[in-house]
Amino acid sequence: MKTIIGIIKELIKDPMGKIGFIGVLVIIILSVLAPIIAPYDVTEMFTQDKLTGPSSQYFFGTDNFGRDVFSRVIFGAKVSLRVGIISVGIAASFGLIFGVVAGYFEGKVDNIIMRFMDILFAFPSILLALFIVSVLGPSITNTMIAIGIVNTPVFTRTVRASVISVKSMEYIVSATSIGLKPKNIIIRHIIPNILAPFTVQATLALSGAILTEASMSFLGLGIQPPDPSWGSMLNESRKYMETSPWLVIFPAIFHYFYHTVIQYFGRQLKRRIGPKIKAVGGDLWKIYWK
Amino acid sequence: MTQKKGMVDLLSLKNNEIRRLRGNEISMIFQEPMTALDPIFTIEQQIVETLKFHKDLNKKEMKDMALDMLKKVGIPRAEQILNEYPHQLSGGMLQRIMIAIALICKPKLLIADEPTTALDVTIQAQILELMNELKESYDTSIIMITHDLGVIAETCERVAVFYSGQVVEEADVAALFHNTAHPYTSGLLKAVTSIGDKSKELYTIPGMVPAGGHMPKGCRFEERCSKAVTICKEKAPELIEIEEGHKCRCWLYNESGDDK
Repeated sequence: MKTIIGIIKELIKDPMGKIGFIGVLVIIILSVLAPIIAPYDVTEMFTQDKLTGPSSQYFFGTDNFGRDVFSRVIFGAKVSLRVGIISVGIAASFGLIFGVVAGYFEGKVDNIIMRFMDILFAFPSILLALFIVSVLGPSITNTMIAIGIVNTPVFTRTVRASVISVKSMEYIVSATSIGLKPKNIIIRHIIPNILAPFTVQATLALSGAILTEASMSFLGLGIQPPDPSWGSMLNESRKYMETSPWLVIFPAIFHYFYHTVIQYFGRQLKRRIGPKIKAVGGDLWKIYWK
Repeated sequence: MTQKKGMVDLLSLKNNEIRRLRGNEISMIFQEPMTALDPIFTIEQQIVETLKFHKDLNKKEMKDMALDMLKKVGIPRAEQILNEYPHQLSGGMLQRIMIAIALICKPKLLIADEPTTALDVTIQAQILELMNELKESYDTSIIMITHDLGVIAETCERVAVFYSGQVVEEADVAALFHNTAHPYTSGLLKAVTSIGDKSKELYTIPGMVPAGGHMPKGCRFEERCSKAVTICKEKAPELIEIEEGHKCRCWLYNESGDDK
């Protein structure tokens, strides 16, 4: 706990870090409290109030079905965050496993894993995600799986590189010299030492995942209507953009805000805890396990 | 696991068998104490780790042993140090802790890979003294790997000189220094500088170590040797005993007819 507070203190020393941290805090609060904050149900249609502008009744106006844009934006945020976190979770778990195995054992295993990752890497991420979703069928779960798969190579590479550099440290040789098994060396000495770059990568991947989700939903292969998603909201409101600009502006602003804030957060995290990787890594490890 | 009279052929052991020996009967200390300890664990965790894998003790006993060991290697305020991280300590302290970790299971053999290279001279002397003391009190043998002839003179009983992956001379420490046989060893001894030395240039052995994979057919030291003769180029010498307990790999001592 002390370490987390320490990291946060470091983070908010810098204005960018402050924006990032407070922003992320706001995002989390908005997502958790979405049902309380949103005044209406996301699918509730006020047929007599179609396409009305922002007012005290509908903060962000209503769409062509008469649904409240504010409620949909708030719930869309929740969906985005959920998709982001779960897909990054998938990518991070597989990336950690593949990366550690490839980096620690090297040789053939490494070659097989990394060449496969190269294949995944070779496709533009959106294209690959769309391909996976069109094979599995569009749904929120499959969107998460697709984004997870698309992000796995980045994690694998990050983890593999860190494992290779940590592996050559003398304390790993020293761990061998006291009779530890490779399994114990990996779990006790290697993984905790790569946690800091890994955590930073996860934060940065989060904003990327949210962006990918929005793009997929915009193209109609992500979150399916009537579930609210910023991407699909933008897509649906394209036709009314000239007459009812609020349909586009508010989801776009929120999206921009999310993306920027998480990016700031990730970058500052990288800058702040990057050089202190060693000292921080162990404490993070303890936090993970407590 | 043990064969007759407690003799074990280490090279024939399986991985999990040799792991039981590592840290328990054979342990090692490293050149760079600053990097040889995992930066994310406290000193206590690192000392206890060895015990955990080799001895069946409870937490309290392990902690007591760790504390006891730290005191033996001369760490002041040991209780406090147990909870500190490697980056909070100096090189000399860390090397003492490394020695503590290496000796905690009372191993029969301690391999020290240039244990004093990264330390400054006064700390070097302290660490060597400590190792000599512990060697006696723990009844442990030490293999000291070093390029520092001063360290050898002070700590070793028997010396093997390596060149290009081969033992070129093996002797008791006194014999090596006073009755040097191999040209490479004498070159090394000549290269030692002393404070009173007024010469402008330091002595070096000319030439370079042969590259791995391109070993010459004859003696590996032939190219750089001042005493080389024709046979040196053609045939590699064997390590032979030139006097009792003194072996040397050089044609200079092999002319007396037993060469096949």
